[in-house]
Amino acid sequence: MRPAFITIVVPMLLSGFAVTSGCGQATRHSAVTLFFEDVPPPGKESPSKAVVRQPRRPPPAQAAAPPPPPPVAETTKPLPEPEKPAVSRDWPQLLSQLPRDAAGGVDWVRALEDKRIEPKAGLDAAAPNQPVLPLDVELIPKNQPLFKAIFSHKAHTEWLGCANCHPGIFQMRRGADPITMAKIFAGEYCGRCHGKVAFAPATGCPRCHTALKGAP
Amino acid sequence: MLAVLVLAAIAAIAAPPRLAMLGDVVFPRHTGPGELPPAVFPHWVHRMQFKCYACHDALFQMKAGANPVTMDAIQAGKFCGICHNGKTAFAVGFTTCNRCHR
Repeated sequence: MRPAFITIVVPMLLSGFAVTSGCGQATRHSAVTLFFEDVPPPGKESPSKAVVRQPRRPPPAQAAAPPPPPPVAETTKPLPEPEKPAVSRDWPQLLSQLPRDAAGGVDWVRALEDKRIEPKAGLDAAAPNQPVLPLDVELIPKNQPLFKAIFSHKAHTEWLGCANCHPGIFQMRRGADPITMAKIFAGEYCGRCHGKVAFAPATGCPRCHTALKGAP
Repeated sequence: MLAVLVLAAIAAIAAPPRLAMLGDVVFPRHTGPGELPPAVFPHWVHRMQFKCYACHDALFQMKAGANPVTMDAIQAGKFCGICHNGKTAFAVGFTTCNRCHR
Protein backbone atom coordinates (compact mmCIF):
# COMPACT_ATOMS: atom_id res chain seq x y z
CA MET A 1 0.00 0.00 0.00
CA ARG A 2 2.57 2.52 1.02
CA PRO A 3 5.07 1.68 -1.80
CA ALA A 4 2.29 1.99 -4.39
CA PHE A 5 1.27 5.37 -3.02
CA ILE A 6 4.84 6.65 -3.11
CA THR A 7 5.71 5.30 -6.54
CA ILE A 8 2.51 6.33 -8.39
CA VAL A 9 0.65 9.14 -6.72
CA VAL A 10 3.50 11.29 -5.48
CA PRO A 11 5.25 11.56 -8.90
CA MET A 12 1.92 12.41 -10.51
CA LEU A 13 1.32 15.23 -8.06
CA LEU A 14 4.84 16.53 -8.45
CA SER A 15 4.74 16.46 -12.24
CA GLY A 16 1.37 18.17 -12.22
CA PHE A 17 2.72 20.87 -9.97
CA ALA A 18 5.77 21.24 -12.23
CA VAL A 19 3.62 21.52 -15.37
CA THR A 20 1.28 24.15 -14.01
CA SER A 21 3.80 26.30 -12.10
CA GLY A 22 7.25 25.76 -13.44
CA CYS A 23 6.99 26.78 -17.10
CA GLY A 24 6.29 29.84 -19.10
CA GLN A 25 2.77 30.74 -20.15
CA ALA A 26 2.99 29.24 -23.66
CA THR A 27 4.47 25.99 -22.47
CA ARG A 28 2.01 25.77 -19.66
CA HIS A 29 -0.85 26.30 -22.10
CA SER A 30 0.31 23.57 -24.41
CA ALA A 31 0.85 21.25 -21.48
CA VAL A 32 -2.53 22.03 -19.92
CA THR A 33 -4.41 21.60 -23.22
CA LEU A 34 -2.98 18.10 -23.29
CA PHE A 35 -5.17 17.28 -20.30
CA PHE A 36 -8.09 19.73 -20.52
CA GLU A 37 -10.34 20.97 -23.26
CA ASP A 38 -11.28 24.55 -23.98
CA VAL A 39 -8.30 26.09 -22.29
CA PRO A 40 -8.17 29.76 -23.24
CA PRO A 41 -4.92 30.81 -24.96
CA PRO A 42 -2.45 32.74 -22.81
CA GLY A 43 -3.38 36.36 -22.30
CA LYS A 44 -7.03 35.77 -23.09
CA GLU A 45 -8.15 34.28 -19.84
CA SER A 46 -11.56 35.68 -19.15
CA PRO A 47 -11.89 37.07 -15.72
CA SER A 48 -14.02 34.90 -13.59
CA LYS A 49 -17.50 36.24 -13.07
CA ALA A 50 -18.30 37.34 -9.62
CA VAL A 51 -21.10 35.32 -8.15
CA VAL A 52 -23.91 37.66 -7.26
CA ARG A 53 -26.67 36.41 -5.13
CA GLN A 54 -30.01 37.48 -6.51
CA PRO A 55 -33.54 36.80 -5.51
CA ARG A 56 -35.14 34.00 -7.43
CA ARG A 57 -37.57 36.32 -9.12
CA PRO A 58 -36.76 39.84 -10.20
CA PRO A 59 -38.55 42.40 -8.08
CA PRO A 60 -41.59 44.03 -9.73
CA ALA A 61 -40.37 46.64 -12.11
CA GLN A 62 -43.00 49.21 -11.23
CA ALA A 63 -45.17 48.67 -8.27
CA ALA A 64 -47.49 51.46 -9.41
CA ALA A 65 -48.16 49.99 -12.84
CA PRO A 66 -51.35 47.90 -12.71
CA PRO A 67 -50.92 44.31 -13.78
CA PRO A 68 -52.25 43.55 -17.24
CA PRO A 69 -55.89 42.52 -17.08
CA PRO A 70 -56.29 38.78 -17.22
CA PRO A 71 -57.84 37.45 -20.42
CA VAL A 72 -61.31 37.19 -18.98
CA ALA A 73 -63.03 35.94 -22.05
CA GLU A 74 -60.70 33.05 -22.48
CA THR A 75 -60.00 31.61 -19.08
CA THR A 76 -62.44 32.72 -16.42
CA LYS A 77 -65.63 32.31 -18.48
CA PRO A 78 -67.28 29.12 -17.25
CA LEU A 79 -67.54 26.39 -19.80
CA PRO A 80 -71.06 25.87 -21.15
CA GLU A 81 -72.93 23.19 -19.29
CA PRO A 82 -73.23 19.96 -21.25
CA GLU A 83 -76.61 19.54 -22.86
CA LYS A 84 -78.74 17.95 -20.19
CA PRO A 85 -82.31 16.83 -20.60
CA ALA A 86 -84.69 18.93 -18.55
CA VAL A 87 -86.30 15.88 -17.04
CA SER A 88 -84.92 12.48 -16.24
CA ARG A 89 -85.12 9.78 -18.88
CA ASP A 90 -85.31 7.00 -16.33
CA TRP A 91 -89.06 6.77 -16.77
CA PRO A 92 -89.94 4.29 -14.01
CA GLN A 93 -87.89 6.28 -11.55
CA LEU A 94 -89.47 9.53 -12.70
CA LEU A 95 -92.89 7.92 -12.39
CA SER A 96 -92.20 7.09 -8.78
CA GLN A 97 -91.40 10.74 -8.09
CA LEU A 98 -94.51 12.26 -9.67
CA PRO A 99 -97.14 13.85 -7.46
CA ARG A 100 -100.05 11.62 -6.50
CA ASP A 101 -103.69 12.34 -5.94
CA ALA A 102 -105.73 11.29 -2.93
CA ALA A 103 -106.44 7.90 -4.47
CA GLY A 104 -102.74 7.19 -5.04
CA GLY A 105 -102.79 7.66 -8.78
CA VAL A 106 -100.45 10.01 -10.60
CA ASP A 107 -101.67 13.59 -10.61
CA TRP A 108 -100.71 14.34 -14.19
CA VAL A 109 -102.10 17.86 -14.14
CA ARG A 110 -99.94 18.83 -11.20
CA ALA A 111 -96.95 16.97 -12.63
CA LEU A 112 -97.23 19.15 -15.71
CA GLU A 113 -97.86 22.31 -13.69
CA ASP A 114 -94.81 21.65 -11.53
CA LYS A 115 -92.77 20.90 -14.65
CA ARG A 116 -91.87 17.47 -13.32
CA ILE A 117 -92.59 16.32 -16.84
CA GLU A 118 -92.30 18.33 -20.04
CA PRO A 119 -94.31 16.47 -22.66
CA LYS A 120 -93.84 17.68 -26.19
CA ALA A 121 -96.65 19.00 -28.34
CA GLY A 122 -95.85 16.75 -31.26
CA LEU A 123 -93.59 14.07 -32.56
CA ASP A 124 -91.67 16.87 -34.20
CA ALA A 125 -89.73 18.62 -31.44
CA ALA A 126 -90.56 22.00 -32.93
CA ALA A 127 -94.31 21.42 -32.89
CA PRO A 128 -96.03 24.36 -31.20
CA ASN A 129 -98.26 23.96 -28.19
CA GLN A 130 -101.95 24.31 -28.85
CA PRO A 131 -103.58 27.23 -27.09
CA VAL A 132 -104.56 26.87 -23.45
CA LEU A 133 -108.08 28.07 -22.74
CA PRO A 134 -108.64 29.51 -19.25
CA LEU A 135 -112.36 28.82 -19.09
CA ASP A 136 -114.10 27.06 -16.23
CA VAL A 137 -117.51 25.58 -17.00
CA GLU A 138 -119.83 25.02 -14.04
CA LEU A 139 -122.11 22.03 -14.26
CA ILE A 140 -124.80 22.21 -11.60
CA PRO A 141 -127.18 19.28 -11.22
CA LYS A 142 -130.80 20.21 -10.75
CA ASN A 143 -131.61 20.96 -7.11
CA GLN A 144 -128.20 19.69 -6.03
CA PRO A 145 -125.92 22.72 -5.88
CA LEU A 146 -123.57 20.92 -3.49
CA PHE A 147 -122.62 18.60 -6.32
CA LYS A 148 -121.69 21.40 -8.65
CA ALA A 149 -118.87 20.17 -10.88
CA ILE A 150 -116.30 22.54 -12.30
CA PHE A 151 -114.78 21.61 -15.61
CA SER A 152 -111.42 23.30 -16.04
CA HIS A 153 -110.66 23.93 -19.67
CA LYS A 154 -107.17 25.02 -18.62
CA ALA A 155 -106.20 21.69 -17.10
CA HIS A 156 -107.54 19.88 -20.14
CA THR A 157 -106.12 22.12 -22.87
CA GLU A 158 -102.65 21.73 -21.35
CA TRP A 159 -102.89 18.18 -22.63
CA LEU A 160 -105.59 18.12 -25.27
CA GLY A 161 -106.53 20.08 -28.33
CA CYS A 162 -110.04 21.40 -28.89
CA ALA A 163 -110.68 18.85 -31.63
CA ASN A 164 -109.94 15.94 -29.33
CA CYS A 165 -113.29 16.50 -27.60
CA HIS A 166 -115.26 18.94 -29.71
CA PRO A 167 -117.60 18.21 -31.25
CA GLY A 168 -117.14 14.44 -31.16
CA ILE A 169 -117.67 13.97 -27.43
CA PHE A 170 -119.02 17.32 -26.29
CA GLN A 171 -120.99 19.83 -28.29
CA MET A 172 -119.80 23.38 -27.87
CA ARG A 173 -123.06 24.67 -26.45
CA ARG A 174 -124.10 25.01 -22.84
CA GLY A 175 -126.68 22.43 -21.82
CA ALA A 176 -126.44 20.51 -25.07
CA ASP A 177 -124.90 17.44 -23.44
CA PRO A 178 -127.01 15.56 -20.87
CA ILE A 179 -124.06 14.48 -18.77
CA THR A 180 -124.84 12.26 -15.80
CA MET A 181 -122.61 10.30 -13.47
CA ALA A 182 -124.27 7.11 -14.67
CA LYS A 183 -123.21 7.89 -18.23
CA ILE A 184 -119.73 8.81 -17.10
CA PHE A 185 -119.38 5.51 -15.25
CA ALA A 186 -120.64 3.80 -18.41
CA GLY A 187 -117.78 5.35 -20.35
CA GLU A 188 -119.54 8.23 -22.02
CA TYR A 189 -118.64 11.92 -21.92
CA CYS A 190 -115.96 12.44 -19.25
CA GLY A 191 -115.80 8.67 -18.94
CA ARG A 192 -114.25 8.46 -22.37
CA CYS A 193 -110.95 9.28 -20.67
CA HIS A 194 -111.64 9.37 -16.93
CA GLY A 195 -111.27 5.87 -15.61
CA LYS A 196 -109.21 4.86 -18.64
CA VAL A 197 -106.24 7.18 -18.94
CA ALA A 198 -107.22 9.90 -16.49
CA PHE A 199 -108.15 9.63 -12.83
CA ALA A 200 -111.13 7.42 -12.14
CA PRO A 201 -114.46 9.11 -11.39
CA ALA A 202 -115.03 6.72 -8.50
CA THR A 203 -111.99 7.94 -6.56
CA GLY A 204 -111.65 11.51 -7.73
CA CYS A 205 -114.94 13.11 -6.59
CA PRO A 206 -113.53 16.37 -5.17
CA ARG A 207 -111.40 17.02 -8.21
CA CYS A 208 -114.57 17.98 -10.10
CA HIS A 209 -117.11 18.41 -7.31
CA THR A 210 -115.01 20.99 -5.52
CA ALA A 211 -117.48 21.40 -2.68
CA LEU A 212 -116.67 17.85 -1.63
CA LYS A 213 -113.06 18.75 -0.93
CA GLY A 214 -112.11 17.52 2.48
CA ALA A 215 -114.97 15.05 2.54
CA PRO A 216 -113.94 11.54 3.50
CA MET B 1 -93.93 -22.08 -34.82
CA LEU B 2 -91.32 -23.61 -32.56
CA ALA B 3 -89.29 -20.45 -32.80
CA VAL B 4 -92.30 -18.39 -31.78
CA LEU B 5 -92.91 -20.70 -28.84
CA VAL B 6 -89.31 -20.47 -27.76
CA LEU B 7 -89.39 -16.69 -28.10
CA ALA B 8 -92.60 -16.52 -26.14
CA ALA B 9 -91.06 -18.63 -23.42
CA ILE B 10 -88.00 -16.40 -23.34
CA ALA B 11 -90.23 -13.35 -23.28
CA ALA B 12 -92.26 -14.75 -20.42
CA ILE B 13 -89.15 -15.53 -18.40
CA ALA B 14 -87.19 -12.41 -19.24
CA ALA B 15 -90.01 -9.91 -18.88
CA PRO B 16 -89.87 -8.35 -15.45
CA PRO B 17 -93.16 -8.21 -13.61
CA ARG B 18 -94.80 -4.92 -14.30
CA LEU B 19 -97.65 -3.32 -12.46
CA ALA B 20 -100.68 -2.43 -14.44
CA MET B 21 -101.14 1.28 -14.76
CA LEU B 22 -104.16 3.40 -15.48
CA GLY B 23 -104.12 3.93 -19.22
CA ASP B 24 -102.56 0.63 -20.19
CA VAL B 25 -104.19 -0.43 -23.44
CA VAL B 26 -104.17 -4.13 -24.25
CA PHE B 27 -104.29 -5.23 -27.87
CA PRO B 28 -105.71 -8.73 -27.70
CA ARG B 29 -106.15 -9.32 -31.39
CA HIS B 30 -104.41 -12.15 -33.19
CA THR B 31 -103.09 -13.61 -29.99
CA GLY B 32 -104.05 -16.84 -28.44
CA PRO B 33 -102.71 -19.85 -26.58
CA GLY B 34 -99.16 -20.63 -27.61
CA GLU B 35 -98.60 -17.26 -29.17
CA LEU B 36 -97.01 -14.12 -27.92
CA PRO B 37 -98.79 -12.45 -25.04
CA PRO B 38 -100.92 -9.50 -26.09
CA ALA B 39 -99.27 -6.16 -26.66
CA VAL B 40 -99.76 -3.59 -23.93
CA PHE B 41 -99.50 0.08 -24.72
CA PRO B 42 -98.50 2.00 -21.58
CA HIS B 43 -99.93 5.50 -21.73
CA TRP B 44 -97.93 6.66 -18.73
CA VAL B 45 -94.47 6.53 -20.26
CA HIS B 46 -95.73 8.12 -23.45
CA ARG B 47 -97.53 10.98 -21.77
CA MET B 48 -94.41 11.83 -19.83
CA GLN B 49 -92.93 12.76 -23.18
CA PHE B 50 -95.89 13.82 -25.31
CA LYS B 51 -99.13 15.62 -24.82
CA CYS B 52 -102.29 13.82 -25.84
CA TYR B 53 -102.64 15.79 -29.05
CA ALA B 54 -99.21 14.71 -30.27
CA CYS B 55 -100.81 11.38 -31.26
CA HIS B 56 -104.57 11.90 -30.94
CA ASP B 57 -106.41 11.88 -33.19
CA ALA B 58 -104.01 12.25 -36.10
CA LEU B 59 -102.18 8.94 -35.52
CA PHE B 60 -104.49 7.05 -33.18
CA GLN B 61 -108.20 7.46 -32.70
CA MET B 62 -109.26 7.62 -29.09
CA LYS B 63 -111.49 4.59 -29.31
CA ALA B 64 -110.72 0.98 -28.50
CA GLY B 65 -110.56 -1.14 -31.62
CA ALA B 66 -110.65 1.82 -33.97
CA ASN B 67 -106.96 1.55 -34.90
CA PRO B 68 -105.98 -1.46 -37.03
CA VAL B 69 -102.54 -1.81 -35.47
CA THR B 70 -100.65 -4.83 -36.76
CA MET B 71 -97.00 -5.77 -36.68
CA ASP B 72 -96.94 -5.45 -40.46
CA ALA B 73 -98.27 -1.91 -40.22
CA ILE B 74 -95.77 -1.06 -37.49
CA GLN B 75 -92.89 -2.43 -39.51
CA ALA B 76 -94.16 -0.44 -42.49
CA GLY B 77 -93.73 2.70 -40.39
CA LYS B 78 -97.35 3.24 -39.41
CA PHE B 79 -98.92 3.60 -35.96
CA CYS B 80 -96.25 2.74 -33.34
CA GLY B 81 -93.73 2.40 -36.18
CA ILE B 82 -93.77 6.14 -36.74
CA CYS B 83 -91.54 6.50 -33.69
CA HIS B 84 -90.53 2.92 -32.89
CA ASN B 85 -88.08 2.65 -35.76
CA GLY B 86 -84.78 2.54 -33.91
CA LYS B 87 -84.24 6.27 -34.31
CA THR B 88 -86.82 8.07 -32.22
CA ALA B 89 -87.63 5.10 -30.00
CA PHE B 90 -86.58 1.48 -29.76
CA ALA B 91 -87.19 -0.51 -32.91
CA VAL B 92 -89.64 -3.36 -33.09
CA GLY B 93 -87.84 -6.64 -33.62
CA PHE B 94 -86.97 -9.96 -32.12
CA THR B 95 -84.86 -8.35 -29.40
CA THR B 96 -87.64 -6.08 -28.20
CA CYS B 97 -90.75 -8.30 -28.35
CA ASN B 98 -91.30 -8.34 -24.64
CA ARG B 99 -91.27 -4.61 -24.27
CA CYS B 100 -94.83 -4.62 -25.60
CA HIS B 101 -95.87 -8.27 -25.61
CA ARG B 102 -95.90 -8.97 -21.90
